[in-house]
Amino acid sequence: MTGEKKLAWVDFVWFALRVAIGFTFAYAGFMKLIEPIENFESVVSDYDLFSRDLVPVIARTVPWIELIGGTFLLLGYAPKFSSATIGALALAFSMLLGASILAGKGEKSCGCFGESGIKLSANHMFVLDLLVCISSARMYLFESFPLSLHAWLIRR
Amino acid sequence: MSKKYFFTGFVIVFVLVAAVFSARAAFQKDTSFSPTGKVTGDPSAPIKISTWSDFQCPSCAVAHKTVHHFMETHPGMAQIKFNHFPLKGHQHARMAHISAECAYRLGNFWPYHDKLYDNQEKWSVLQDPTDTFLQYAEEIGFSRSAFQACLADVAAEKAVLLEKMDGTKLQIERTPTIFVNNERLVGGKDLEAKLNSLLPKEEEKSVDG
Repeated sequence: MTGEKKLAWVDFVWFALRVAIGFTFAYAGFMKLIEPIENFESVVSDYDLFSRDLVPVIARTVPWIELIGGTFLLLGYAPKFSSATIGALALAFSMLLGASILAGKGEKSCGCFGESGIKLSANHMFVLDLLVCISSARMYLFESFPLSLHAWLIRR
Repeated sequence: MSKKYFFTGFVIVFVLVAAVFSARAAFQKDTSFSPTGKVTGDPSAPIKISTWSDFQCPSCAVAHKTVHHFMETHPGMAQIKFNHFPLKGHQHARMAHISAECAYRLGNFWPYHDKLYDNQEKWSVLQDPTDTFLQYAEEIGFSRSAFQACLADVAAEKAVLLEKMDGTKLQIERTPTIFVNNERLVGGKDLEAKLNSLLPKEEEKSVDG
């Protein structure tokens, strides 16, 4: 397994990237979940892309997927599953933000980190989500995951 | 995959869920209606509306019209409380809220509140709306000098900021945030439907018919 192999510098780069992406998503999910759900419902509703019935469902599920998927990726637990989940979320967010930018709302805060968290415009988040999407797709294709909880659990 | 692997995943999820619910409990604040401050309407009204608004926010102006219409068409059904929540991104919001606070301190808040919302599109685009705010005060019947003295007094601004801080403690971030019988509505899109749903069935029918 990976534990016997000497780690290359590139392994540390991917480790840092995995931790950074995982932390970002976990933080974004946590910030939304500790706020009243109506705040995020209002953010989702403002995109004007979803039916009224769908808005509460999205507002109640997406933050949990961000928190759990992000934490799994951060720790390196079930890395294929978590990188696929986070990659899919990032792709969905990119498409959503792309539509928002096309509608002329690129400078508006995207509400990605909850209302009391970091404020980033839709333009900035669109680029970040695309980068996350590409990185997650690459991570998904790895055969081993050094410096991860997964590697540690498999070795024991 | 071993049982230990799945158990680890379960523990992680359990810790996350516990962290979220603990944080939610720690941030939970009492949002029940308190009939003090900028309040209007029948004290015995069954519908209590507490609104956290910004005078320069367009959605707040829409919500204001909805509530105003509801109060007119259903007298005695609702009591409303206004709370200052000027947003940083709105250039003239701070000044508008200080002016409204002065109107409250000088004893006639609601006509001034209505005037600010009804004319929002006009004063929002001005370079400096101070004169317009003074003009509104005079039109309502305030003495220009008394209103100017209030605007110059730091107490009005302090009151606005303290009220906004109270809103922040209630995790209010967007405007309008409206509590209808203690239920939070953000953005005002569902306000009309919510208010109508609280009407007694006979009255709802008579309004529709």
